[in-house]
Amino acid sequence: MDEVIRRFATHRVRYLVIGGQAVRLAGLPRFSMDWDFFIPPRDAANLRRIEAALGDELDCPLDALGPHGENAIQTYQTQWGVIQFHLGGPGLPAFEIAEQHAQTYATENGTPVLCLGLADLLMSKVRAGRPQDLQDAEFLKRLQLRAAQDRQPDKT
Amino acid sequence: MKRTDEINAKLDFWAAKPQVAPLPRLANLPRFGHRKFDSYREMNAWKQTLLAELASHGGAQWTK
Repeated sequence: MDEVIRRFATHRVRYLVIGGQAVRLAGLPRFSMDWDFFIPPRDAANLRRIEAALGDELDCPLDALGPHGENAIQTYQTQWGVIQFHLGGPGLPAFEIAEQHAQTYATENGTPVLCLGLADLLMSKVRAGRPQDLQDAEFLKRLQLRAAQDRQPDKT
Repeated sequence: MKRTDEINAKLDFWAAKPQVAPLPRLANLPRFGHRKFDSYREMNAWKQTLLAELASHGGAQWTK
């Protein structure tokens, strides 16, 4: 999937990795069969940049979010794995807000990846509410606590 | 039961020293064309069907 991330960077795609892969990149050893990308829901130019980046691997053009939530999640099977584009979702803030809180992690191969920020990721996991999401949330709460402790001045 | 068997102990351990674990690839996922969903309920239902199909073929085979 590093190849996809590099192509997104080359084509200046606006994206944030969310879901299980974002939690894995934050440090929890877990499997996930797909990569979830949060993208701005009605940025037509960005949709075209994604299509340019992934070329024939997308067997159908991406659609903007419809007025009644149509096409909120768009799934493709590619040579790099299953890619899901999310144009919104439970617990996700507006993309522009999420983008401001983005966190950069690195893949196991060192490729930098833009991910949903820790607080937003935690909220999305709590709201999704499936058992695996709640376990991810417990891990993220621990990370958040450690980050807060690291920010506190040394009292010794 | 060892302390490491408890999920909370594992989460504590992983959060103390977060590391990115290499991701294996799913080698035998059935082929499918693009799918577009209007809701997470729809998407999760489809994913359950896909996983059931995978299970009927012997389960997931992960590879490096």
